Amino acid sequence: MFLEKLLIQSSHNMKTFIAHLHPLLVHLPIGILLVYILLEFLRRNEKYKLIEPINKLLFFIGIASAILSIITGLLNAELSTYPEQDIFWHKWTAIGTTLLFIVYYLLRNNIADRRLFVFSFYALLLVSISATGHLGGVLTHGENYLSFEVDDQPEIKPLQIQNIQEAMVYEDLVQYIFDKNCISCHGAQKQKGELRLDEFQYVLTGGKSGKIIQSGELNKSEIIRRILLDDSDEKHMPPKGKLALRDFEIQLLKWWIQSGAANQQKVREKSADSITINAIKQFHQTFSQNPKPVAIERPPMKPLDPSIIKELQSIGFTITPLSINENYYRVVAYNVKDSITKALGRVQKIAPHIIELKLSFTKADDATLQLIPEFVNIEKLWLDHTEIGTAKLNSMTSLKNLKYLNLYKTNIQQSELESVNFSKKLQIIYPAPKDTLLIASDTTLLPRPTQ
Amino acid sequence: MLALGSLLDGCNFFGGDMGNHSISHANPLAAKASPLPGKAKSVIFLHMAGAPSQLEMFDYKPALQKMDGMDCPDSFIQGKKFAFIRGVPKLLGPQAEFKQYGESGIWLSNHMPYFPSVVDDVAILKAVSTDQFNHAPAQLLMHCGTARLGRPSMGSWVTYGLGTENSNLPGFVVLTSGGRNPDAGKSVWGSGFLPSVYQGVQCRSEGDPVLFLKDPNGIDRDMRKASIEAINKVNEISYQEFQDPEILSRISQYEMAFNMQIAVPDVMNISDEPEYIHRMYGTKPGKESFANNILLARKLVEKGVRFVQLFDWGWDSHGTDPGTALDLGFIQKCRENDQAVTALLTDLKQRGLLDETLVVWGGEFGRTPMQENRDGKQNVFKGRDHHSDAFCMWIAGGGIRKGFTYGETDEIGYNAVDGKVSVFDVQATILKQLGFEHTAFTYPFQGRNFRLTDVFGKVIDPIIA
Repeated sequence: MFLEKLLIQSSHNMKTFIAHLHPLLVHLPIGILLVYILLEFLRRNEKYKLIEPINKLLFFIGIASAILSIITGLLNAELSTYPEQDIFWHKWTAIGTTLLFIVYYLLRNNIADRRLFVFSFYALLLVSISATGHLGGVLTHGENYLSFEVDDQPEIKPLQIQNIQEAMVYEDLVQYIFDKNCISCHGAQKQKGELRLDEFQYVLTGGKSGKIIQSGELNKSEIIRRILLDDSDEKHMPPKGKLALRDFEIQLLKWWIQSGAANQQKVREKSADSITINAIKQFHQTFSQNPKPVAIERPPMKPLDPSIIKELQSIGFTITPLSINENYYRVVAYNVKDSITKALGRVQKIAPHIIELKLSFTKADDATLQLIPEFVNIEKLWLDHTEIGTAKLNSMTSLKNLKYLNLYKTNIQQSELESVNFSKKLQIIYPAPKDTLLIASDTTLLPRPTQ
Repeated sequence: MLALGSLLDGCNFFGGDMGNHSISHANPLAAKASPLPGKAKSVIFLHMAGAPSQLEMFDYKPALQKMDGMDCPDSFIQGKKFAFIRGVPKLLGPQAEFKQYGESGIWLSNHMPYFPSVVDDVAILKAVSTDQFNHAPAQLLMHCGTARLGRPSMGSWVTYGLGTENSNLPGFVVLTSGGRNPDAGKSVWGSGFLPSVYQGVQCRSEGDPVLFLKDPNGIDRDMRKASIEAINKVNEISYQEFQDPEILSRISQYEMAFNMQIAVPDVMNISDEPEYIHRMYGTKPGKESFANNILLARKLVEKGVRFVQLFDWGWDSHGTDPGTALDLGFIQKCRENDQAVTALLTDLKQRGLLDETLVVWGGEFGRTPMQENRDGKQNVFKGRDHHSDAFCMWIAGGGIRKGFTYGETDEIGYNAVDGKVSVFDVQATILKQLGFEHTAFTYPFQGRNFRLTDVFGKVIDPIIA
């Protein structure tokens, strides 16, 4: 018994092993037979007459490898999950091509004088061998592999939903989950198990084994059953090698089916328990586009004269370009020893070059502030921990690019700030009337550890 | 090769005539531009040496609770090596309660009662992996990009690349707490083959912050200045002769030490901070503590220090004694850590510093979902062994996405199932935020170009805002 089982098992393993040689072997007949045609063509020339015996040899090796390829291919077809109609053409072009070569070989001396006929035969051989190879390639690499469009994988676009409450449950949530996880096999291109999940109507129709969704009844919905099967189960979806659905995705599918599997409903129109609400949150957060801030475009700027950089460094400024290829600068004044107002006066010469100016912890005062409007391109300005106080900040509203203004620990009163007409986009750092104190949440949950 | 110094010299950035190279203009710590515009200008790296348990802090595993006390399935332990676990250990459910917090709905344990107030500012990496399960090599890997000695630490790379914006302070400061240095020793802030001027300066939070910085008795500041100037002149002459960059290091270190005499005691003194700050951080001036170091980190970054590296000791929760028990000592560590860390993020935010400061929190690896059974016997207290396959870290500020988690582990938190990142990926991401492309940021040594991430690393794009 055991031995028999072992034999069956090992013969099965052997079969699989041989079958898997197919993608390796197929390259031999393609290469050898192509060279064979080329040499046959050359042989027509008097000069190359002598290669006849080599050509014969080439033919036999080529045909032998073609036959081996066909055998392994047939084994492969038996074991594979490729759709039958896809394999059909590949199989028969392969067999046809092999037969054509044999026919040519048998006839080649009789037809040598009929040029047109021979050349057409060559062309036919070329076309049929290429077609066989191509069809095989389509099977393994997919239809769009050989194409000028670089992006062959249908990429899942990030969610474009701003307000998740207004999103459509089916269209924006459920269909998104299908698109991401299922339609590579159950879509417009491929319909494994005769199932399509790329549109609402097909989802309702179901597949080969019937309907996959019973509205309101999770236990009778095949799709949920398949998803929840054990990973090792052959019928588990998505199959081995594909990423499993995440908990929150499953929760959303369940929610949708349980509440009627409707097409046109918004999230806010449906009731949801706390688990579902969290799942919706997580879904939104995970798949939303990570909003990347747009890179700032600044007009081109002439490089600075190195001598001026040297001069500013000598009075204690740190001056660095924003990055090595830019002529816009960040200036920091921690180490300026003399009067900051006087020192900043010297920076004024290059004011349009300055994007970031950090005067934190300096003796900057109201007189210093008067120089600031000269820095027309400035985007970030630190005046924190300085003596500025009574100066009018009004003049700074002319700084159109200013995005960040740090006034932490200055003498400026918040009430003064409110009277200035700053742009809404400007982020102003200002100490809250009372600096934040931490308040622990949920301290009650657990007793303090024993010391 | 991207030798930043030479690039800048090449375009005569420092203004020095190359023929008459003035040394003061070649200060190796002078601020330099990053190759790309960087969002972060400084880094605070909080290293919980010993490796905190992700399963009691960030990675909520209800399924593990259900399997508490069961034998660990064979598939998890077959062919695996652990630091202490032998034979078949039992699974250990989470020793904490979890809830979702903030707009982002991030799961946090009740050991961190303060953290929920800042959870919407951090990005949590839930599936970081390393390939070392012993403290010293794992710490080296985290900071130097290799488990072996001899490579520069991350802080050294960063100060080498960017210099510092405040020449009165070191560019790279290290603070330790918990009574011990990290297992990997001072190599985790060493400069490796980079010039030694870039190594971390370890400051003490008790007594003199930097030893031997004070003027000796009977020497006043003017005399000290005159002697340093004289020494530097001699050093300049020998630099002209030998062109050894270590001489430049020495010159700038003398100069920096002189400047630091004033600036360091000032910045390292936390007793000047107002009362509410002390209450917020939980600091007690005059003692060496993690909270004090956290407050110092804020003060240093505020004054332009480029890289602050904190090590806290005591997170190695094996469960061999009450101090390392998950239900005793570990909770104490969490509480100390929680308030100070939350205060740091809150304070940086209210000072407008968080946008430019990258705060990184993590250990060198994680802890097993199994209860440790040292030498095959169940440990007396609840504890977990070292675990390298998946652990949690978080990053905040410096252009990192807010209120986001990335990565997922399996049901019991053993392996990453999604969004797995390596220690190198974390390093690459930190460098990216500072304006470096980690593959191009190299230093030639012994015939080849070295980089922090060696031949690995991929920027974790989803967590970048």
